[in-house]
Amino acid sequence: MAQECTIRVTGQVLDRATREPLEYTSVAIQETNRSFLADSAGYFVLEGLCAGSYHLQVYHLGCPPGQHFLLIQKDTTLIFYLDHHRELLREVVVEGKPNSFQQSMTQQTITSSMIRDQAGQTLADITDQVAGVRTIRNGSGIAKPIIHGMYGNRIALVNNGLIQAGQQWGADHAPEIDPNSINVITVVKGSDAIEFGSQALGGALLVEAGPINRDPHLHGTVGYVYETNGRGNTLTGMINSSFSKIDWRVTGTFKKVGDHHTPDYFLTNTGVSELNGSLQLVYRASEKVQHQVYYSLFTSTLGIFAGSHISNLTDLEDAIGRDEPFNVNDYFLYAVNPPKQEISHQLLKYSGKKFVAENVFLEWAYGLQADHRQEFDVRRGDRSETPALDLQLWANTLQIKYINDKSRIRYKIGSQATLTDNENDYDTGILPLIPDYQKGTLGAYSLFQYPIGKFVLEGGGRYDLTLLRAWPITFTLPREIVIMDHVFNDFAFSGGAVYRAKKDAETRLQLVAAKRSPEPNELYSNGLHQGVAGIEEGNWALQPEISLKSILTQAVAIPDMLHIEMSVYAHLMYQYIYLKPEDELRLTIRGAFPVYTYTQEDAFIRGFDMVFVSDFSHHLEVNAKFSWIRGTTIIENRALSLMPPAYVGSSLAWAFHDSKMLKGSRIQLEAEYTARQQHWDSASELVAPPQDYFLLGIRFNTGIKLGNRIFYAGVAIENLFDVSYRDYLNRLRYYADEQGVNARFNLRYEF
Amino acid sequence: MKSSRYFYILPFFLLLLLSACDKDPEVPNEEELITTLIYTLTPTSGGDPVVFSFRDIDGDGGQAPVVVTGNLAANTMYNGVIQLRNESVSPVDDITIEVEEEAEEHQFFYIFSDVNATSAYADVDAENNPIGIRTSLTAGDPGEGLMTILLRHLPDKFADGVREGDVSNAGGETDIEVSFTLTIE
Repeated sequence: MAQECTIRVTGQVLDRATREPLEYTSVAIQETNRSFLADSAGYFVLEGLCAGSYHLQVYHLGCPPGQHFLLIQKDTTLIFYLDHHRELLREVVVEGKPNSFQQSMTQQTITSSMIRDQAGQTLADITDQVAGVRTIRNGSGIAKPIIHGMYGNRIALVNNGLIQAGQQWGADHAPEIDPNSINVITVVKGSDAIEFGSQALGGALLVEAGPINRDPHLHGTVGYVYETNGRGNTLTGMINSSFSKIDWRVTGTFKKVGDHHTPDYFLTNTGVSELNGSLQLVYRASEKVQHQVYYSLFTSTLGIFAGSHISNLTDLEDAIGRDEPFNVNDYFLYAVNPPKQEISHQLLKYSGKKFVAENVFLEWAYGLQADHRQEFDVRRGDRSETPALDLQLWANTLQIKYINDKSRIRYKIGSQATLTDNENDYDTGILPLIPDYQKGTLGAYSLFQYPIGKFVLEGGGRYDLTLLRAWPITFTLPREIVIMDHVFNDFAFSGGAVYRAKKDAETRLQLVAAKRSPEPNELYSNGLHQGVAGIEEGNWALQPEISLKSILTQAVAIPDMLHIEMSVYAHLMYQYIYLKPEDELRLTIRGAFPVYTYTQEDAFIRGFDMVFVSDFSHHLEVNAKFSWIRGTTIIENRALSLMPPAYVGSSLAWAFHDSKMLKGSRIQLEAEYTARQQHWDSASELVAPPQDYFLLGIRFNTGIKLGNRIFYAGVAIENLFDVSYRDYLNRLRYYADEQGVNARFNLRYEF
Repeated sequence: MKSSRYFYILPFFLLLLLSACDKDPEVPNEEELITTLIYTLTPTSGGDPVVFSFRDIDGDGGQAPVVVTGNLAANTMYNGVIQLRNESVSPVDDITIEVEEEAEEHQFFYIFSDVNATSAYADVDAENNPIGIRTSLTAGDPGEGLMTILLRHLPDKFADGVREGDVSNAGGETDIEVSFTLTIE
C-alpha cells in the first residue's frame, strides 16, 4: 500500500538549563539521510515524512549531539533539549512529560552526556563540578561528596529513589555506585532534601537510572576509557530496547586501575578494580500503571596507599617529615595487597507508579539492599587474609508517595519505612569498630508549592520515628555485650519563596530546620582508625543535633550574554556532633595515640558560592565558579575540621563549527585555584593544612560522524604541568602528594 | 483519598520486622592482641634478673596500663630477653613465638635517651639480620633516663643503619612502642 508521505513535524530546540532557544541547530533524520536547519529561534520543520519510526540526531555548536527516537503517525510538535550550559543545569526534565514535582529549588543536575564524558571517574569526582560541592578523599579511589561543608551521615545518598544503605560514615567509605549505571545526578542543597529523611540536613545526592527510550530497536553504548596515571582501563556498556509493554536496559562496567603516580613517585597499592552491572525492566501494564524492577550490583577492590600504613603517633610524625613516603615501590603494579577494602553492594527494587490523572500520580516501592564491606590490614601470621573488619548490612525500605502537580497548590506527601540490620563477622579477631545494630525508621513527609503572581511559596514538614538497638562490646574485661535501646523522634520543617521579578532574574530563599538523631557510629565507634593514628570513641549519651539552615540565591541572566548565580548560606547547628580530640594522649602497648571522642557543641557554618557563565560569542564561553566556607564552634570560636578551603575554578571553551565529520567539537581550558585552609585549629589537626595550589587542565570532546553512526571521542588532561601538591580534604595528605599529570582518553560508540 | 490505605501497611511492616529481630553477637577472640611486654635483664656475671614490664590486659581503652621498672647496676652487662604475651585470653598466649616465626618481618629497637646505656642484638633471622628478641645491654655510669622498646612489623631491615639498631629508616608499622624509666645506680 503506497503511503502518502506528508507528515509534518515541527519543533524547537532549547537549552536544557536556561530554556533559551538554541539557534541554527540542525536536525538530521538517520533513515532518510536528510537534515534540516532550525531558525534563529530554534524552530525547525521536518516535512514529507511517512508514518513510521525515525532516529533523529540533533546538532548544535559545542553541544554533544542529541539522539532521539520518534514514532510518527500524524503531525506532531516536539521540543528537544540539549546540554548547552552544563554549569547551570538546575531542573530535571525527563524526555516527554515532566513527571516530577516541580523542582524549582536549590538543586543542580548533571545529565547523562556529562556523566558519559567523564567515564572512568568516581561519582564524587563527577559531582565535584557543581558549585558548593567538594570532595573528601582517602587516596585516589575513595572519594565522597561534601555539600556545603557537610558529608557522611548528614548527606542522603539516594540511589534510584532509595536511601543508599552502606557504611557512609567514614571518610574512607566511598559511595557504592557505578556512574555508568546512572543517567541523571541531582545535587540537592536545600529543603527538598527533607523528602529523604531528617538525616539529610546537609543536602542530598540523587542518582537515577532514568527512563528508557521507547525505541523498539536495540540501542546501546560501548565505551572505553584509558587513563595514563594508574594505567587505568574502564570498559562500559549499555543496551536497551523497548517492546510494546516492556522496556529494558542492561549496563555493565569493568574497571581496572593500578598504582597512581605523583610527579615524583608511585603511590604504591592505590589500585582499584570494579565489576558492576545493572538491570532495569519497566512493565507498562496500562496507560496509567507501570511497574519497574531494578537490580544493581557493585563490586570493588580498593588498595589503601602503602605509605599510609602506619601505626602510632611516632610513626605518623616520622611519615609526615619525609619527602618520599615509606613503602613506595619504584615500579608500577596493578595488584592490590592489604591494606585494602573489598566491597559489594546489591540493590533490588520493585516500584510502581499509577497516573491518577494528568500530573497526579502515586508511586510505591520496596527495596532491598545488601552491603558487604571487608577491610584487610597487614597483620601478623597468616591473618592478612582475614579481614580486620567485616560488616554485612541489610536494608529494607518500603515507601509510598503521592504527587499532585495539577492543583493550584502543588503538593507531595509520602511515607517511608526502613529497617536496617548491621552485623559483624566475629572471625576477624578484632573488636569491631561499629557494633551490631538494628534500626527501624518510620517517617512521613509533605511538601507543597504555591505559585502566586511572581512568587512561588514553598513549605514542608517531616517526622521520623527511629528505634535503634545496638550490641556494643564493653572496653573492660571480661568483655561483655551490652544491649542498648534508643528511641528518637526527629522533625524537619522547611519554608521558602521564589521571586521571579522578570524572566531573567530569580531570587530564592529557603529555610530548613531539622533534628537529626545520632547514628550508630557516632554513638558506638570504638577502636583505632588505621592511617590516621587515632582512637575514635563513640559517645553513648549523644543527643540529636538541631540545624537551622538558610540559603539565599540570586540568579541573573542576560540572554545570550551572561548567567550569574550566587548563593549565601548559613547553617546554625545546635549540639553539632563531631570528633573532638581529647587533651591527653592514650598510652597503649603500641605507643601513644590521640583520642578523638564524638562530642556535641554548637557550631556555625556559613559560606558563599558563585557561578558565572558567559557566552561572548556562540563560539567562546567563559565559566567561573567560586566557593568559600567557614565553620566554627560558637562558644570557643574554634575552626571545625574538614571545611573545604576557598576555591576558584574557571574555564575557557571554544566551540568549533560542525564539519561533515566532526560534530559538536569543543575545546576547553580549565584552571583551578585552591587556597590554603587558613582557619584551622591546631588542637584538632595533626599537621598544618597544606599550601595552596593551582592546577591547569585541558579537554577536548567531539562527535565523529561516520555514515549514520556517531562516535564520541574525548581527551582530558588533568594537572597539565605535573604539579606536586597536597589537598586538605584528602586524608593521604599526611603522607604523600596528589596524583601528577593524567591524560584520560575516552571513546564511545552509541548505536 | 484512595491511596491512604497504603499508608497503613508501613507501621505494620516495621513492627513485624522489628519483632523478628533476634541477634546473637559474639565477642571476637582477640588472638592477635598483645597485652604484655616483659623485658628480662640478667647480669652476665650472674645474679638476680631485673624485670621491666608493661601490661594492658584489656587492650586500648578501659583500664590504664600497669608499668613496672627496675634498677640496673652501673657498668654492668646484661643479657636481655623479650617476651610478648596476650593475657586477655586463657590460657595466656605467647606472642613471641609468632614474632620468631616471622623473624624476617619483625625487628625490635632499643632506644635510650638521657641515660648511659647501649644495646646490641644477640640474634639473627634467616637473612642474617637482627631480630632483637635477644640482646645484650651495657649499663654505663649512674643516671636516670628513658628506655624505649619498639617492635616494627615489615621494616626495611636493609635500609641504612637499621641493622645497627637505628630505627629512623626502618619504616613499617609499629606493633609495640613502650617507654620505661631507666635508673642506673
